[in-house]
Amino acid sequence: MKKIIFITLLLSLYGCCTPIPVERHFPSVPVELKTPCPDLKKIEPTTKLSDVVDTVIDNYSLYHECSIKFKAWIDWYDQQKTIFESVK
Amino acid sequence: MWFLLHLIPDNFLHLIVHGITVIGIVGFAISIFAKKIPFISSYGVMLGLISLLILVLGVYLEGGYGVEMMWRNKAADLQKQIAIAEEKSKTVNAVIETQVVKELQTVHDVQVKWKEKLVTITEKIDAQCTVDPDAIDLLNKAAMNPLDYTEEAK
Repeated sequence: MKKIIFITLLLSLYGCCTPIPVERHFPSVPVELKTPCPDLKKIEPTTKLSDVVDTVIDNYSLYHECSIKFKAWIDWYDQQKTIFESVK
Repeated sequence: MWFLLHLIPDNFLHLIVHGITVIGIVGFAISIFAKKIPFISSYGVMLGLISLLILVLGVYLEGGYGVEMMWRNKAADLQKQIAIAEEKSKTVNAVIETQVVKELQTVHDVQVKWKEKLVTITEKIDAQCTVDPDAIDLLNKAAMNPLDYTEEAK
């Protein structure tokens, strides 16, 4: 009797596992966009303006790199959304 | 157990459903003429009832089969669309990746260019200006992520 109850319960639970005939995968993201933006560089103790400017150039580049990645993320989202919504 | 239908191949399911309907029709037709057929003349009514039940079941299953096929076709169509969408998605990723790599390279090239320029004017700007340590300290604090500020940094 216990076995019958167990099997019945098991079958009832299996009913919850509605088979989904359509599989959809979340779109992947380019590796470059997965790298977080680094912290800005700090200036080593110095009195030379050239050292300061050197670090400033590095930091501007870091900003531009981060900006490119951020724009790419927006672009990626917009295009993937359009593709996602095209499936009906 | 309706979900088990997904496991049965289309053709086999088609055969079973049509088979049941045909058995019902044939059985019912035979039952009409049962009185004229020897051996089964006395079972005409019973055969008619059973055939009718089988026919009703067959018609019911035909309906269910139609719906099942409709969903299978819809699922297959959706799966095709998804395959196309996934392909498009990969193409978009490749385009974005190429563009990002190209732009990052440009940033790097320009950075190198400015550094080369800096080397040429280093002596001149260092001779004209001395930077106060407080200015360095302020710049470093400004460069910090404000979310990482501690009381010490302030």
